Parts: sequence; structure tokens; C-alpha cells
Amino acid sequence: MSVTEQNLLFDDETGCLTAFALQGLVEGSLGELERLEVTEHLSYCDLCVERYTALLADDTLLEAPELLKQSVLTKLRQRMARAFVNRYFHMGVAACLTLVLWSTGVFATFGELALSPPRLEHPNIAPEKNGITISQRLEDFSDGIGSGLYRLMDRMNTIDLRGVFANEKE
Amino acid sequence: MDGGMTNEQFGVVVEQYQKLVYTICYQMVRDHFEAQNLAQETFLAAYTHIDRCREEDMKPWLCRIAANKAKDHLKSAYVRRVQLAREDEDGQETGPGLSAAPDPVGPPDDLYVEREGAGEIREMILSLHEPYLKVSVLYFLEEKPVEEIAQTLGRPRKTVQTQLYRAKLTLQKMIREGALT
Repeated sequence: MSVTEQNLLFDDETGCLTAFALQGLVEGSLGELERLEVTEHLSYCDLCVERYTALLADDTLLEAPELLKQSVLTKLRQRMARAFVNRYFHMGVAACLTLVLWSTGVFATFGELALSPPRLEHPNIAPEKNGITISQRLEDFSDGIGSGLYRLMDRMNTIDLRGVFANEKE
Repeated sequence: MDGGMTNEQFGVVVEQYQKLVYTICYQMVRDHFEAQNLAQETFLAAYTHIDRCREEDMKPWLCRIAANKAKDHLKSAYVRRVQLAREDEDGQETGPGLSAAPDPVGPPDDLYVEREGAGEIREMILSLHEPYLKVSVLYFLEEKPVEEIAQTLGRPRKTVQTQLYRAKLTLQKMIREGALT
């Protein structure tokens, strides 16, 4: 049956499935494209879903495969385990990064900035009142981060990775 | 996954509805192996929001999820089949609107419209049946955008796109077969 001859599957006025289409789906008399069209409609039309499920009486249902329930629960457990591992992996990475930055002194520079008295509270106060401008302080801060990262790079260069790569080869 | 239901409780739900979901999937795809996969995917998709669904709505709700899964499966099988058929035909058939992507752009056959006039194409479009008639009238004749058609007809945008794509294939076939002569 081609697309243009499908007046029996859909009501041209309402656009909903005909009783013939629903019966055809249940009995298995529809072709592949027709099943696609009917399924597509059922995926968004509440009214037709109600009509379709009303046809599915308990005594007409097929026996589900024995392992269906077990496979669903196994997949579910796998997904949950994966989600759990992902969450703690990201937390672990964040913690390691924090420790590394802290040990390289980046936060020390940041702390000095945070503890120093606030500036430019009044527009009439000259920025150079305490001898240091905002731009100088920002420069200090970025220098701190830069030197911290340099130290981090130095430290990484000294780490012996041979063991790691040896394991990888194995 | 943060469903408010334990695995054990969910196991009871699966037990209760597995025959229904499996039957729906089988009736839609007519293949036992695929039906089992789709039934599994249906329950996994349902798990996240299952505690928000009332017991009396469970049957239609699971049916809709299963229909969505089956639709995706059937659609990809259909697209594969159409592509293969086209590759068989091809060499000569690469005209406008024959793109395999299910995203219709432009009228079904511009050259034909120019040569033969829009009146006959219009007749052809009006001879289509649902689910293609309304989308085709709105898109090809009234030149409404897909978004607006989806809103007007209460259909998902992607569904409107695939329906237009299939309508276009049908119209092209009608033109090729000289349905108007």
C-alpha cells in the first residue's frame, strides 16, 4: 500500500488513526511504512494511545522473554554505577587540582589580595592613595598565578613517569 | 539517575507491565529480538520519571514511551532502506529535493512547477491523505514554516519534518510516473 492510498489508516478530518489502523497494528497486517506512520502518530497523540491500549486486554498480551526484567535491572545497576563513578571521579580531579594549586602557592597570592584593605570606596579617593593602583594589584595577582603554574610545570618535569608507562605497556 | 524508587520497587513495576510493553513493541516492529531491546529501553527511559506518573496513567504512559522507541527504530530502518533503494536507482536521479536527509527544503520539484504550472502540483498535493495532506498543504501551498505547522497541527517538529520528507518522495514518484498526464 503506498502513502497516497492510506485513507483507511488515518481520518482525513481529524488526522487520528482509524479503527482499521489500530486493528491492523494489533493483528500484524500492516506493512513496515504503515507501522512507522501509526507508531509515529501514537508517539504524540494521547487520544489514540488510549484507544490503542484499550485494545490490549490482559489475555491478548504476549509472554515477555524470561530475562527481560533481569536485563532491565542489570542495565539500571550498570548505569547507576557509571553515574556514581563519574561523579566521584570529577570530585577527585577537582580536589587534586585544588591541592596542586594550593601547594604551588597560587592561593597565597590570592589570599594576600583578599586580606588587603579595600580600595576606591569613594570616587574622589585617588587610586594611588596607598601607593598601589588596582592595575598593579591585578598584575601582582596574575604574576602569582603565572609563577605558580611555572613551579607546577617544573615539578611535573621532575616526576618520574617511567613506572606509569611501563604499566601501560604491560 | 535520581529516581525516587528503589531497584526492588522498580522491579515490581517491570514485572507488572513487561507483558504489555513487550507486546506493544512487538506489534510495532514485528521482530522478537528488537521488541525485547525496545522493551528494555522503554523501562530504562521510564525509570527516571516513574515516580511522577500516577498508577492509572502508567499504561498509556509506557505505551507512549514504547511508541517513541519503536518509531526511532522503524524510522532509521526506513531511512536506510530508502537510501539503499536510491543508491540502486542512482547515477541518473540526483535532482532537486532528492536529498536523503529528512528535512524538506523547497517545493517537491521546482523544474516541474515551472514547466507545467503550479495548478497541477496543487491537485497532486490535495490528492494526498493523512498524515501527509495537512502538512503538505500548509508547507507547499501555504508556505508556512515547519515550526508553525507543528504548532498548528499539534505534532512534534521532527515528525512534521519526516512527514514532509515522505510526502515529497510520494509527490516526486507521482511526477515521475506521469500521474497527471
